[in-house]
Amino acid sequence: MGQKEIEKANVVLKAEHLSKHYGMKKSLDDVSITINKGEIYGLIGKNGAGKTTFMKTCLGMVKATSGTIQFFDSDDINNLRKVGALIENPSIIGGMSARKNLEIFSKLYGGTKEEIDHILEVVGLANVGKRKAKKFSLGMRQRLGIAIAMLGNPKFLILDEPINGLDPAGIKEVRDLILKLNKEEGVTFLVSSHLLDELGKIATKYGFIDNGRLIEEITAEELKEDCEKKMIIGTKSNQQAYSVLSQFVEEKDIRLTESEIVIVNHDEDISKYNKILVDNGIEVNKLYNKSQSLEDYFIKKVG
Amino acid sequence: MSNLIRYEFKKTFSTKAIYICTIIAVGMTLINGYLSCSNNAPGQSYLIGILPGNMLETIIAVLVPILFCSEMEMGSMKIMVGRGYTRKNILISKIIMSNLYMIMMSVVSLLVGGVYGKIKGVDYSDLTGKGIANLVFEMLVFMIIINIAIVFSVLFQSKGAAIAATIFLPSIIPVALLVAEKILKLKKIDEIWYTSYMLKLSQDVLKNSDYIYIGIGIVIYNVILVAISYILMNQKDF
Repeated sequence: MGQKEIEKANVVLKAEHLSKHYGMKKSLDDVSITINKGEIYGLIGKNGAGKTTFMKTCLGMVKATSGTIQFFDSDDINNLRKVGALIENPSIIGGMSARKNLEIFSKLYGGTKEEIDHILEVVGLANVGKRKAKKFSLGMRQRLGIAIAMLGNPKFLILDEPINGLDPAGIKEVRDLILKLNKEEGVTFLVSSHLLDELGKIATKYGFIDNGRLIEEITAEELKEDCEKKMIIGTKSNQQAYSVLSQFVEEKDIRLTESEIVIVNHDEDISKYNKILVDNGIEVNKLYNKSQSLEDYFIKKVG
Repeated sequence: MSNLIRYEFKKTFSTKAIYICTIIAVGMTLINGYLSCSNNAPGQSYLIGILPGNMLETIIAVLVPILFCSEMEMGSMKIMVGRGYTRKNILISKIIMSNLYMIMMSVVSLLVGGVYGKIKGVDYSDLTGKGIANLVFEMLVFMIIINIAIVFSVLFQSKGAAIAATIFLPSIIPVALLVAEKILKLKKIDEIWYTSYMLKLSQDVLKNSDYIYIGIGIVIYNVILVAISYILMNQKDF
């Protein structure tokens, strides 16, 4: 598949009914995930949930028991040349410098001298000189692993726990790098992580995986809506209560559902709304604040 | 495939182990040269004794697993697969590079040994076409060792285990064959094992029928070993 066809493709990864069994153990069980161009897809799950197995199976490192995988709307295995990956530990040659690592791997994955200079600049390893990779800190090794994954101008990067073991400064560097590549170079990402709050800062879509099964997929907007602080109000006449409260709350911040009224983006003490409703003769059944972090959402989903 | 070969070439010759092993091979060649020249060996005998005597078998048994298994341990082999290179092509490129290195080391050893012999007054006028063919067959036997090392590297994925297996197993098998020979009252079954080829080749030029026998044996060994490596590699999950 040519470069132009790859760039036109809207679906970067389509994994359908992917399963991987090791004997009786189902490491992946009928997982279907579609990642569209430009997304940063966050794959979330406990240790041993199947995140790495999923990534490896997509990339052919592990042979799938069943299911199909397509990259850039095609079965062509050569499309993997436009996919970069950092899986488990960074695969770097310890006895060589960062530049030398990239020069050697560029023989396999492509990359001119100028592109290597650019990649080193982007990952922040341009000034490490001749220091051997085995003397790098963990954050530097991770960044070198990402740099190798970037060789050949991939349009899709698969990063398995890229911020594992990093200090806060290192985490911010990797996070900023992902956002920069996504926004400026249009690179699509599949990222797995345990650090949910960090993933929450970059992902545009989430997949929750547990015991090899995809439990849920949710966009960042839907998740934000579910997680944001909101007031839940239930009365004997919700329609009337809605009309009353609409006079005190902006239209975009209040909605009436089948069983309750939901108010978002408020900093008010709930007693204020209780008083409003009581003063208008409306009997209140429930009135409370609710919010959850991504972590809370994750624990609720996967336990 | 050309990308893989270029990568293998650049990576192999960036490895210190290659140069250390080459120095050892050259060193052993010079020591053997010194001993052979002291014994006034004829030129052809001297030359065909160089390769068996420079520890190249052991060097290959150590080096090939180092080069192969370090890539597995480092994780770069799985990334190659993840980037669309097939397991078959990765295996072929490693076989090609290992053999290229073996040929290079053999040629260097022969040149160093030959020059040393010349300096010490060895007369090469008795060198014949069969003598040169003998040298080529010696290198082909090394190819078997390379393929054995690759089989064990893919099987064990550990440098230590692969090195140990490549060094010890070829030494144990002839003993087992000799025992089988005695028990089954058969003749010369130990000669089917490839180590007997190098023993014959190192002593003198052989009859044509011996070269044909050894040639067929080399082909059979290499085909079987490459097939085993291919099957193991294809089944491998990284």
